Amino acid sequence: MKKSNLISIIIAFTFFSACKSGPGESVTKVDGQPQIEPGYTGITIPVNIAPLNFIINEKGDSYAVTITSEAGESIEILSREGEIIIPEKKWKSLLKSAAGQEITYKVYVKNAGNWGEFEAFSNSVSKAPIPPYVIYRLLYPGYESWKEMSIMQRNLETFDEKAVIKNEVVDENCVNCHAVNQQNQANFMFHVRGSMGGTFFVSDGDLQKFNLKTAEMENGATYPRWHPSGKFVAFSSNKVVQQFHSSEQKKIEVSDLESSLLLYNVAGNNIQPIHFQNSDQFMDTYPEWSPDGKYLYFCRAKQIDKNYLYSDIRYNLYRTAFNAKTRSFSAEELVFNADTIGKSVSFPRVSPDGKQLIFTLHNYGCFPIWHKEADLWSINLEDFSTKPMAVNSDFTESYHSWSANGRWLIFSSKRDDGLSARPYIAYIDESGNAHKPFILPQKDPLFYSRFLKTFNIPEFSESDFSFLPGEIRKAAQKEAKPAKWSKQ
Amino acid sequence: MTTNNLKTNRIIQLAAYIAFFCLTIFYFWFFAGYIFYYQEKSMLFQTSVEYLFKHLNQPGGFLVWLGELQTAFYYYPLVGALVVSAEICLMALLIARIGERITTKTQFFIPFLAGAILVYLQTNYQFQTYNLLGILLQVFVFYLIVSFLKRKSSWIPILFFPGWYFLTGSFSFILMMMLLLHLFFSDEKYRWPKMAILILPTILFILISGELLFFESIGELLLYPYANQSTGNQQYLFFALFFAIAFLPALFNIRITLIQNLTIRKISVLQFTPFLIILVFGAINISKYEVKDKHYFEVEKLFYQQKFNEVIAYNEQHPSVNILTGFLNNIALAETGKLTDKLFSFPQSPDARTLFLPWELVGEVLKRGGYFYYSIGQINEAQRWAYEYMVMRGNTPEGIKMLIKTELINGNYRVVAKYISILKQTVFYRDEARRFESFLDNETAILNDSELGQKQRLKTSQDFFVLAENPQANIDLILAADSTNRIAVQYKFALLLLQKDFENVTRLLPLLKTAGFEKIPKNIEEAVVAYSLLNLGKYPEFEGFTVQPETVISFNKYYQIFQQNRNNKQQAEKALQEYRDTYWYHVFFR
Repeated sequence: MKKSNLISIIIAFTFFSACKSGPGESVTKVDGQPQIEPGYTGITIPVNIAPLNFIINEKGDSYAVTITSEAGESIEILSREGEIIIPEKKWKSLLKSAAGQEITYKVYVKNAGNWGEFEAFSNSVSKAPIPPYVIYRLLYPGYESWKEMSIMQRNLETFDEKAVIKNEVVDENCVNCHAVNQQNQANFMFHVRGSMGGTFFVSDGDLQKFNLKTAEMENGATYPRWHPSGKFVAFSSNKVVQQFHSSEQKKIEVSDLESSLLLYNVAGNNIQPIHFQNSDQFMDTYPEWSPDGKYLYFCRAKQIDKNYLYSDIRYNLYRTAFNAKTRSFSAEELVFNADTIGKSVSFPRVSPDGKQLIFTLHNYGCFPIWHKEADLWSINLEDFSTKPMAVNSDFTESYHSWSANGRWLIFSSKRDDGLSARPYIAYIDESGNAHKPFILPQKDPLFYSRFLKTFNIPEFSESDFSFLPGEIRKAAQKEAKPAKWSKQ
Repeated sequence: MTTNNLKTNRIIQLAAYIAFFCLTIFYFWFFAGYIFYYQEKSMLFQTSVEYLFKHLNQPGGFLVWLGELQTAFYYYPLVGALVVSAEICLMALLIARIGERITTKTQFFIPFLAGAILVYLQTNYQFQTYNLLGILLQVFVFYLIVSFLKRKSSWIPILFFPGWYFLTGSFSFILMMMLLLHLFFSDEKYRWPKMAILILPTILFILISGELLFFESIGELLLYPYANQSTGNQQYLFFALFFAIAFLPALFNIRITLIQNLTIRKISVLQFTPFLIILVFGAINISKYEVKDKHYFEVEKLFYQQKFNEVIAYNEQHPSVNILTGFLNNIALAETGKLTDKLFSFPQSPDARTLFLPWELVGEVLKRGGYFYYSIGQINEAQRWAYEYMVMRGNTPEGIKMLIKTELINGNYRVVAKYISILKQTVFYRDEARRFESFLDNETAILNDSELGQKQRLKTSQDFFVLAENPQANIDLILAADSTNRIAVQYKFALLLLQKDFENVTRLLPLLKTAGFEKIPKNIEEAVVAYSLLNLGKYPEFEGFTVQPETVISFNKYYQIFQQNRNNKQQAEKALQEYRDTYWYHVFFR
């Protein structure tokens, strides 16, 4: 063997040995927990979640982490840069062994040849599984334009992400308003605007395009919510205006000039208005069904006039009883008067057990994603008492969605940078209390520090809704079946 | 052919290539260097693997990535001129070599004609680099195939062709056609199976991948990355070249004996055709050369470098009626406090588009319109324009810098850090990224920076909804919130002057005082003097300002000449040429 080759082998061996040598017996204790990103300390995680890869933001030459379950199973990870990438198979096994218990993370950082051990932190592992998928729209948090836009499906048990639809397939038109029926997981829908536009319904894997805007409707159907039976979809029909702030941090104000509720009968392909007494004096929006399908919740504000002041528009929470047989609604009932506390309500979402409803509360208007002060609040549907949720931050929280088992809530939060929404997941315990939320884990722990797009409307799903491009293309190219208008 | 003739052939051939290469560099460097400037400023190549993978999401994406990689080096336009000239000459040389392989004769006409057409296409600043690279790669690979792959190894390109299609997209069809024709004209044993295997798996790949993998339509999968716009809308000539090269093996099999045998003193006349082509295309390119494009991009370059006085001086030397040039020049004037002194020293659009560009999502306006808002301190709006451009067209060096600057001014440091991480992944903007990084979480540094600090202080403090479709209306809203905003004050007066609104120019004189002007700017003074002397309304309040006696004398003289020629407007206009930069001339003749 040549001398130079031998030297190379020795250098390589020394290097790799150095990389692989973790902390031995002699470690120095370091005060405090390590700074890690994302902040995965003290959280409750589902037994089937993908590995929580993270980065250690502490100065060091080498890093080591051991994750241990109470059953004694453990994972050791070494890193030169502080990026902790947890092996997927070992992680799954560890979580399985720790279901209903805690896992503990010990973080070691090597400086000047000495290993320091930080205070350990832990995660509680809930036995309640999280739905295997989350569906969201990926887009730039822009104002008016779009180019690339897609509805994506992420497997929460792995890092696999697939496109449900990309807007390239529909002439780069806007794709939006996706909705999964949490109680009847075969139902899924989304909307496409423009030349190949229409509302696409998926039923038992079949994809069909409909035109829900009838001649009688001034505005299109939006904000869909599936009736638990899968037979109906409630929409609102909104005339929207967006304006741009010259100096405030929130940048955009999106307001409804008018809005009303609609009920779509899937089997009959007909759409009907949901009218109440003096409906024309109000703007009704954001419908939401109770899990038993007997109530329709919605947000209501007074109809504005021409010289409205955007910051005076406030929505309260109402509900109406629904008779599925006759497709009729009772008189509306006030559930929460946000106006009296100078606030406005949007995005009501009832828990699967029907005991509580979570909504977004903000200062005014109906489009909280640009409102820094927007927070998630819950209302107890037995006594109508309200409280802010423990998941809130100083930035926008909105677009929340329940898992079918009611133990997990996924929501959008802009706490990362104030601009792009990120999906956060929180455990909701049996008392209805939310635990510390954690960001949707990514394979690359630095993913969010570079990614500019926003995760719009994350919704849990039990079913795999990814379609082949050819299927979508075929459905999109077909003529949309026009819905029929029927009076209430 | 004698040894002497062969030597002469080689010398003439070499001379032709050297002349072609040198003249191409000269043209691209001396006349059309702005092409490289424009292209480099139109995209932002990132060195990360992630950026490469992003391009591998559809067939042809790799070629676009390669084109962007090359374009990044246009940061130095001389490098652009050298590289593009070398590539075009290489392509001509490869075509000649291919021709020689097929015909066993030296080729002059087709290689130089193809090269000259490519030079012509490239003189359009919108002709994207990947077009040139796409053609060059097909010719290069075909040359390698016909030169080096024999017998069993000749199956390699046939079998791997779907992969080549994935890398170079629609440009690979050039190679496919060349291979098909090459096989067709050959006497190879397996030529028919090879031709079938070349076509069928590719078609199957496109159809199956279109169904299973790619969201683009089949038409898009067949065409990408070709786009009319990326050829500078020169699609007819581009396709003529595309098909001519695709059909090269057939073209080289056409023999026009009469021309080929034409000789002077035993030297083939064909050898001189390169010089004829160079001369003809040289003349065409020089006649096609758009000096106004060169001027505009020079102004834009100086503007991006914030050399506002140089922008003004350049426009004085090279007056332009281009709206965008006027728009940038007016910002430069406002930034240097001269907008209402020199407004009429430059051509202005009567609809005020040289002052404000109305909002539009398409075209080049979106790229530049936000600089007006940045200049007057409407930081959110400046950012919106830059952001929308980024969404529509991707990142550009100046676009991302605007996003960084506006977010720094707004104090959104975590967002800035993301943009900086993008800028850090570029080839030539890392230093700027590091400079921006020094402002993170450091408001004092921002306030002390000459540019960011000034904009921070100008930033509109009172909130209102921006009227992007009616930009001039924003000026009143800004002035209602902050009447000391000198740039907004200049724009307000500039608009009134353009609108020939004597009365409001005079009425708003106190604004000059609150904005800290020490004297009445020239064009405003001209309006005020005319208003006073012609008794057009209530005598103005001068708020402590004094009117220069020379302005009064000048107006009287102007008015006298005007009165003398009042019955003949053309004659009056001619007689008053020395007053072209005055408000009075604008009022009467614009």
